[in-house]
Amino acid sequence: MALPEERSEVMLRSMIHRLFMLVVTFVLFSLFVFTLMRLAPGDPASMLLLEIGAVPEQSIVADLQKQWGLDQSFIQQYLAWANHVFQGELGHSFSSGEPVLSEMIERLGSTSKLIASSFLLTLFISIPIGIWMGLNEGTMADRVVYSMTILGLSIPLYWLAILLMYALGVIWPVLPVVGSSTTRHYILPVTAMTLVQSVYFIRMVRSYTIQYSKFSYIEAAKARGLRPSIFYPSYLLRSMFIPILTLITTSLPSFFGASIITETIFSFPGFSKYMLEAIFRRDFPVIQGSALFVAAFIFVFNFMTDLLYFLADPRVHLDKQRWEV
Amino acid sequence: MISIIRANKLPTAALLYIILLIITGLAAPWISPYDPFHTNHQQKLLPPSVAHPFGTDYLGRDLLSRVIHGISESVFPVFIVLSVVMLIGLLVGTWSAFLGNKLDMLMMSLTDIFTALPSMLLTIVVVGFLGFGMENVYFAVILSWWAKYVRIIRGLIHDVKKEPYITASRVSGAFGLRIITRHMIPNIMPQIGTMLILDVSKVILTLSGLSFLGIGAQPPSPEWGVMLLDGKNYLQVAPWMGFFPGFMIFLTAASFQIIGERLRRER
Amino acid sequence: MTTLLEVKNLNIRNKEGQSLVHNSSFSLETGKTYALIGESGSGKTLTSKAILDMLPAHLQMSGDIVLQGEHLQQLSRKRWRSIRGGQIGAIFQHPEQALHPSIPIGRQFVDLMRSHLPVSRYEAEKQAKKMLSQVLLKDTSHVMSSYAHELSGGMNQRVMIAMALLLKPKILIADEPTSALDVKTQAEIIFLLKELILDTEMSMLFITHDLLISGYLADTIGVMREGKIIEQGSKENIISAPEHEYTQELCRHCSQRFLGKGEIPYA
Repeated sequence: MALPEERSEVMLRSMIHRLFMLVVTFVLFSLFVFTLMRLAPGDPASMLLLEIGAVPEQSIVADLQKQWGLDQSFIQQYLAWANHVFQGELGHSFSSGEPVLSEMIERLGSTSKLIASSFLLTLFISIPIGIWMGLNEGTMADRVVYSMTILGLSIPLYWLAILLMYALGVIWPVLPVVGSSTTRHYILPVTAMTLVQSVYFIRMVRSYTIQYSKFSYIEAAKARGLRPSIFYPSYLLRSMFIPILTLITTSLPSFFGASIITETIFSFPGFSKYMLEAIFRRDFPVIQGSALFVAAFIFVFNFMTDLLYFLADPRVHLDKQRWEV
Repeated sequence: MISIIRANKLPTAALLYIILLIITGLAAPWISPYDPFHTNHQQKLLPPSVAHPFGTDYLGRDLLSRVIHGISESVFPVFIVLSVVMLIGLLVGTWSAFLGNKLDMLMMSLTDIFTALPSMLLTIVVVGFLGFGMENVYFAVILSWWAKYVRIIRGLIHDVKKEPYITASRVSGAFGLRIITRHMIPNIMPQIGTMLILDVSKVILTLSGLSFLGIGAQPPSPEWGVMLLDGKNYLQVAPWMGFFPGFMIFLTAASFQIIGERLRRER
Repeated sequence: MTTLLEVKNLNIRNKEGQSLVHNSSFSLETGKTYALIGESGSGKTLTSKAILDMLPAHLQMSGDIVLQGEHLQQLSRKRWRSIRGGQIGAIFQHPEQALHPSIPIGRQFVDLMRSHLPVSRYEAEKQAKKMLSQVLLKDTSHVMSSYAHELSGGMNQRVMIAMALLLKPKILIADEPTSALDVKTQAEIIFLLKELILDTEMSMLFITHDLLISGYLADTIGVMREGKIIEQGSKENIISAPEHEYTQELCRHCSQRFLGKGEIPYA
């Protein structure tokens, strides 16, 4: 049996292991991005020339190809590229000529505010409702709301946003539908995102509550007559902390996707819209830079939450991976 | 049979709707009241009427006809894409379940990357570098979903491996591959099938969403997402342009969701 | 000799109308132990859950449960909470399952005490440690700061008993508390229980499938089969002269276990 002193040792070992995996997955992903980039139709040398605003003449292109090592092997090219990128040298936008890194950072503010508020609001709404439904499983109210969630999952975010736009921007024009300058501009986008995500969250939290309240130690705690103010937060919620944390981690990607749609519909000048538009402009540095940034963010986020797992449940052994049977 | 229908009114209705939808989609060239691409500036932006039950769009095209033709653009490709995902999942997932520790861990790390990343991100990277065109879009969607199925199938096969009747048939000398195809895979198919049906719903939303964003289907295609994009631009003048395509997406996705949920409760 | 708890015509039905417990009646006297014997599925656990009002939501209960004159079905939620743990304590088969895995043992004791009585944390800890030493656990401070998975099965069992008895309840419901233990620990726990009961004049409802243990602990025995109490009576009567053939079967098996002798020893 593990003594309390051994716990910190296990934790340290696990942290290092997870950190290693973090780096590995990120490198693999960068390889993937690089491969796709090389597969892109078109000539990289010309692209690079365009990147610095020069004209791709044939002789210069050939020189560059030698100079930039484009006649080298794939691995060598990748290493050279990776060297640049991992030092934060993300290049310059093909369209604006500005450094990608600074353009991204400029827009991160509004997008993160959008995602963060929507995320928090979703949690705030879904957790109480989900728990309530779970504890009242089978009652009329629970069944009605549950059926509604089935429909709710099928509503496209983009359609809902349009309907909201129409209702609150056209019929009854109370809220702005374009831009992000004031806080009021955030209301519709955040509402749309929150509504769509909440449906999913409510269902999951409800399912966890049902599952976890059946656990014998929860039932036993109830059999002891614990006070509600102690029972719900410390016992029930604490055991649900891990699945809810998992839920948060696995749903973060969907918030990103939702933000792209939301920012586009509401002409919200944020990071996600910037990334999307880069496709249309074939702005490779932007695509590459923002993709790596988002991936890095998600991987690091997952890493942090993995650490939280251990704090929450001392039984969890971090050297066991998530998929281990 | 009747009792099954009576007990499951909503899923049955959903199933009927889908069958109807598929038939309509296949018969579109014959059923559709108008030519979905035919523009008519005299008839533009008309609200729903008997002549045009869904109204007309900004180019005078009948929306109902466009919606009908859109079935084959918005719904059928989903079936194909998910079939490919299922195939990959079965092949790679089953193979992965029989791997040794190190290789298995590598495979799991690989799938870990793809499940952790937003499908939108993968799509942007793929389409951004490889260019527009439906093949790339489909590739991106497959890329986003394959990992999920590989992991689940791997897990299921792991469990099935331990089942007593599998051990029994091995004892009786049955050949490995035969066990896998004749016993294990049919065993897990019901669960996979249910998941696929539920995922049809999500992929319909995803594909149409991509078209809505300008990736994937392009105007003048009657794909529902593209139609929604037009609808958004004319929201104030012709709200029905934005309503009907979205409603179709919703209805279709919801039907698959309802059926899938009902199947899931069977377990 | 007063009747502490009376169960009259207890019926437990599931959604399909099947009767899981049928018209069961028995009573518990102060200071006496009632053993409810039966195989798994006979309804004995459901009976104990009904007494605590902790039946799963999909089951329906009818009948009367009277605790010292109070009809338990009519109680408010608040009153119920004070009864659970305060008047009625419960211990189960798997102690690790009864103790929350992520909360230190000491904290669980404190939470329990402070849910029922207005005491300080310090006082609660003191009482807890006292209780722990009463169940013959030695390093009480270590136990208090440990998690359930850090202690052995036998230790956890004692912790569970300590927790159940912390508030000095009038009734202890023990649902197969020793079935998962090895023979030596089983004996230790049984002896411990007997001592504790004799000390405190507590009544116990002991649920088991083991006639031998009942012989040692109980004053009255009830035999349950498929939801019905088929025979009930004092320990002596049941063991020496069982009337129902099922009981006779049980006794036969027991005496066969015990070195083939015809009699079952009881204290």
